[in-house]
Order: sequence, then structure tokens, then C-alpha cells
Amino acid sequence: MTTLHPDEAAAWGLAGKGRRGHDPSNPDGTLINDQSVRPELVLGDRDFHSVTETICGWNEAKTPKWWLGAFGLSTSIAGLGTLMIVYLIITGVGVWGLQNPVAWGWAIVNFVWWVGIGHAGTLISAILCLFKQKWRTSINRFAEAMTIFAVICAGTFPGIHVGRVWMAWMLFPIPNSNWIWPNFRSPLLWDVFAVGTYFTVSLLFWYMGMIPDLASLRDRATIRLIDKMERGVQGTALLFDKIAAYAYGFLSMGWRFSTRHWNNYEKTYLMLAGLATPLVLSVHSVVSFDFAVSIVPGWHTTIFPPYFVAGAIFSGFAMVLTLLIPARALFPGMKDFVTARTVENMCKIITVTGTMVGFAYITEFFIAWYGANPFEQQTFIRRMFGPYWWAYWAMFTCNVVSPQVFWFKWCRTNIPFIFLITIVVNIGMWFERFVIVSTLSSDFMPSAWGYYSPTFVDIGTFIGSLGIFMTLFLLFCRFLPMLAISEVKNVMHQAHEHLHPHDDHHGEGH
Amino acid sequence: MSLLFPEWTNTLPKVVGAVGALATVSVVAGVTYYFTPKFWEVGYEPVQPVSYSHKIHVQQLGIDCRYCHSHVEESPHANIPDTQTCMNCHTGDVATSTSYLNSRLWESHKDNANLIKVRSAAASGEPIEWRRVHKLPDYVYFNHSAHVNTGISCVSCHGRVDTFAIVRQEHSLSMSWCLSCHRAPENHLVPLTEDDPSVAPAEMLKVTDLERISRLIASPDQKDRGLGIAESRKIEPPQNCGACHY
Repeated sequence: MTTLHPDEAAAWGLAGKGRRGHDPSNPDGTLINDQSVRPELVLGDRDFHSVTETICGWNEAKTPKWWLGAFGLSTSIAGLGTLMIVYLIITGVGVWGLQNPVAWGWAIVNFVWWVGIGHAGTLISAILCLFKQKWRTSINRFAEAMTIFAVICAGTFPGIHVGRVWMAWMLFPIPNSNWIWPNFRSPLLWDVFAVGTYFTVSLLFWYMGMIPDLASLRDRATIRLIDKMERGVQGTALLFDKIAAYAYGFLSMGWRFSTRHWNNYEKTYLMLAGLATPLVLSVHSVVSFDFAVSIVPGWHTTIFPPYFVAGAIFSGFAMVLTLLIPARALFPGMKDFVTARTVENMCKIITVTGTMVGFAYITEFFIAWYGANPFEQQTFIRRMFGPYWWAYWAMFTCNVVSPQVFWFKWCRTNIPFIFLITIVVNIGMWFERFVIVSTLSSDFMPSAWGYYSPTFVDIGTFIGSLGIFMTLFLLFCRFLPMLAISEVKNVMHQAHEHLHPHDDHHGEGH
Repeated sequence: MSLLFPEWTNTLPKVVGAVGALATVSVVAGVTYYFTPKFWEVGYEPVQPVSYSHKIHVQQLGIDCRYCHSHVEESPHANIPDTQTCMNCHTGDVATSTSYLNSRLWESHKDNANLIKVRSAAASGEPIEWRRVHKLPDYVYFNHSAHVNTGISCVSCHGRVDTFAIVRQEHSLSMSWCLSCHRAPENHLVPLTEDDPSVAPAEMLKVTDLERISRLIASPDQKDRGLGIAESRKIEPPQNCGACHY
């Protein structure tokens, strides 16, 4: 999927240009002014072996101190969330701040927020793959993992929101002695299918892509094991290598790096990319139907599906960067793969999708006015100036204004600043979902209007879901290959050296 | 690979696949069979404090269901009779018994352990603690009168109680079971007097005539007859949630 298309190579040849000059990019990998020369995707003059060494090294090194600290903190927060969920199950959903007419509170806010975050992974791994955006190779594994964990967090909320969790199986159309089926005309059921499909395909894509790298880790662990045994090491000193060899060996499913394996791998990868591509658009469209198919003013709008998808990609890229920027700093050598240019590209996508979201906000207002429906108009005026004005303006500032800073090169190359903006975007997207859901507090019947506030259980469960997410993510960083080793090697200039016979800069490790 | 895993592990995927498939089928089949009211409810036959036999009272003595379950036609609830209903016949005080039957009963059942319990309950005013057999969940509203007065016989839900020495649950009373009749009431509808005014009172069909009705609804022409009744009396059993759950 990352191989060079023959036409591309021919075009370079005709233009008299090699794939790379000797120093085509700025030292930090940011874009150079000469757009006809492609900058390197992997910096640091690496050969293939050093790529494997670096990426596997993150899993094989002694557990870093910061990791232990972060893991302890994340599991504590996850534990807090679990306690909240247990309390909810024992007591009932009354412990949340839900009351009529706001029957959907933070649970749906968090669900939509988390599902949206997941979208970046699929976009990076599927759509950018089909468009041959090679810079994606260093972040796709990372983003896919984030997708999986975000969808796990998202799925928790509808599961516990049903009140009687032991009846959660009724979300699925399972034959039962009540002859009850889920309502097939309800978008809530479509949600189950959409998110279920999404999770399955994402998981397959993620796992399938990891198999060759797991096999690398397996082989390295096996070699370490044999080496130690030959040196006469015995007993528990071999334990961790043994566990690693067998665990990675089991997970890599007998991968032997044979040509036939690679052939199947590439085909499957492309097929899964094709399957996952419509999901990027469909999943959040269906999630938006939860609102759009109802007749509540402010929800019943056709703009919701594209607006939700744009918002999902927006928040997803922000979350990938939120995780990637610290990881880049903490794992030695990661900056060579996740270059400043990659981060810059992602900032551009954030600006594009943020602007789309802003356009949707403004269109909603225009249509409320143009549609001349007094209920719709009232809803939108109340959003801006009603009891939840603070949420609306927080959303607007964070989502529409803040990403515009990336028009300036300084902003999209200054890493700490980018980190700050990604946090702001995540907050803004959470507020977007909150603004939509809190619309319920003033619907058709003014006598029922009220003010929805969360309880400590709502807040604790949300913070807990962040802990669950971080726990899973830290485990991923520690035990699974964070970057797609084979794909990264494929976008290095050494992989295509034979196309440029005049280039004297030969890499090693063919 | 061979460094880590012995050769037999090559068959592992097949074994896991086969076992997994078998396990899935077993779980699905097991849940389908065991996790239903059909398995857990049907056949429930608790030991009652007094071993009252419906068989004797209905078949031998010809007592109508409604003699004891007297509110079934007016009320949602088909009542369990109080002790006084038993005492109408099984009066304990032979001196005050007014009928021949009562005194005969007294003679023959003087030392019957069950009746001693009944008489002492009647004397003390402490009700007999019958064990409930048919119990719907709290969130289901069922109205006996609505069914009995429409021409659904006792037998359709409770079975041939007239033949039971000990009462047991005959049907699952699950929601799918309710719906099976609400969707096709013609299989259980029986003619009421108003369906055929020409029938002489002596030959009138009673919904409590379990033997005759069970033969009637098992007969091949039941479906046509039921459709006719449903048509003429406009019987359209509700299938919306609010009909039973509110």
C-alpha cells in the first residue's frame, strides 16, 4: 500500500528529479519551500535495522519511571470511574442528573464525544491510505489504537445508561421469549450496528496490521532467549523473555515474513482500508441520526450528518496529537518518525475540519432564521443567550476560533503551543455535544423547562472514562509496536533506491 | 516458529475453531432451551397447605369454577376463595348444618386432616396460606374479566384444571405466549350466548366448561369459527406495549 507507483517514478525521472535531494527538508522535517522536492519522511539518516531497533526498543527497554507513574495515575482514575459505575448499577440511574425533559445527559454527551474521537484513527488508516498519504505510516498504528480505546470508552455509556445493565443484551436483535425486538426504525438501534461494525473493522485492521511487527518482537525475544540460554542463564532470569516470546508468538499467528504472507497481507490491508473508508462517514452520520431523526427543534436538521463527521475528525485529530506530542517527547527517537512535518499536516487537517464545523454552526443559525420556524429560532437564540450561553460560547471559541491559529506557520510548528490547542479543541468538541444535548432542557412545553446539571457521579464517570482510555493507551505503548515498522521502512528512500540509479546515497539493510 | 511452538500447535487453530463453534452452538441451544419461562415456569406444582383436589370438586361434584373464583367475570383478579367458601359445604358444626349434603360431608370427612385444617382456619379467622401458582411479573397488567367475557375460556391459559388433583402451571405465561394468542385470537375464541341466540339455555356453552371447550378448540373447524366470532364481535386484541404495561 505504500509502494511507489510506477507512474510516480516515471514522472520524477522525466522531471529530471530524484526521489530525494541530499538535504531536501529542513532539519526538523518541516516543509521546505521547494515544493517539487519531497522531504524525507524518516529523519536521522536511519537504515532499516535502526528503525526496527528503535521501535522494538520501546517495548523491550526497562519500564520507564514516567510510565509507571502515569500508569498508576491512570488506573486510579479508571478505578474511580469503575466505582461510579458500580454505584450507578447498585443504585440506579437516578444518581445521574437526568430528569425530564433532559433524559439524555452526560452519558450521551460522552458517548458521542468518544465515538467522534475514534474517527481520526480510521481516517488516517483507511482514507489517507487510499489517497497514498505516506506521512500517515508513522501515526496510523497509534491512531488506530486510539480509535479502539475511544470506542471502548464510548460503548460503556449506552451500556450503563440502560439502567438495568443486565438487560443490555436487548440492545441487540436477539430472539427471546418476550417476542420483543429492538425498534428497527429507531436510530438508537442503527447506532448499535454502526458502532459495532466500526469497532469490529477497526479492531481487525489494527490487529492485522500489527502481525508482522508482533512477529519481529517475537523473533527478537526468541533470539534473546536463546542467547541467554547459551550463556548459561537459568531460571527466573529467562521468565520475561519466555513470556514475551510465547505471547508475541501466539499473537503473530505463525507469521514467517514469507512473500506469500506479505502478498496476503497487502491485499487484506487494502481490502480492509476499502471497507473502513465508508465507515469514517457512516458511523458518525448514524450517531447524528440519534438527534436528527427526532423532532426536537435544534436537532431536526439535515446538516447533522456532515457536521458530525467533520466534528468527529476534528476532535479525533486533536486527540491523536494530544497523545502523540507527549509520546514523541518521551520515547527516544520517535521524533525521527513522527516528524514536525507530520504534526504540521495534522494541524492543517484540524484547521480544515474546524472551519467546516464553524461553517455548520453558522449554517444552522442561518437556516433557523431562514426556515421561519419560531420554535427553531427560539432554540438557537436560547443556545446563544439562554441559560447555557457559557457552553455555547465555550464551544464556539474552542472549535471555530482556536484552530484558525494554524494558518500561521509559527503556530503549527510550535509543539507546546499545538499541544495546548489540541486540548482546547477536545474541550470545545465536548461542549459541542453538551450544547446539543442541553437543548432538551427547553423543548416544546415551557412549563417543563428546566436546568440540567450533572451530579458528582456524572462527572466521576466521565473522568473515569478518561482514566480507562489512558490506561489502555499506556498498556499499548508499553507492550505493542507503536509504529508500523514495515510501513515506515517502505516510505524510506532506501526502499526505492533501485529506481534512482544515479543517486549515490545508498542505504543499508536491503 | 519451531523454536517456540511444537508441531502439534499447527492443529490448534482448527481445534480452537471447532471447539469454538461447538461451544457457540451449545450456548445458543442451551440458552434457547433453559433460559425461558417454558423451562422454568411450566410444570410448577407447589405443595399446598391443604391438598385440595379440583378433580373431585369439578368432575365428581360438578362445581363451576365461578362458584369459588367468583370475581372472575367482574374483576381483573380471579380471586382465591376465602375459607368461608369452603365452609359453605364443609360446615364444621353438625348441629347448625341445614342440608342433607352438609351432614353427609361431616360424617364422611370428620377426621380428614385437610378439613381439620380448613375448619380450624375458619374458626380462628386465620386465612389458609395457599401457594400462588400463576404469577405474572409486577409490570404486567392482566385482566381476567376482559378475557373471560370475550370468550376466552379458563382452559386456554390454565389447562384442564378440572382434571388436576394438584394445581400446576400448564403454560409458560411468557410474553411471546400472550402475543401468540393476541396475534391469532381465533385459535381460542369460543361462542358466547350472544353469538347464537337460538341455542337453548341448557345447551349453552360456558367458558368454564373446560372439557367441552378443550374439545371444541382442538377441533379442525375452530379456526374458521374463531375468525367468524372475531369478525362479528370485532375482537382485535391489542398488541401495543401500553395494553399490558403501564
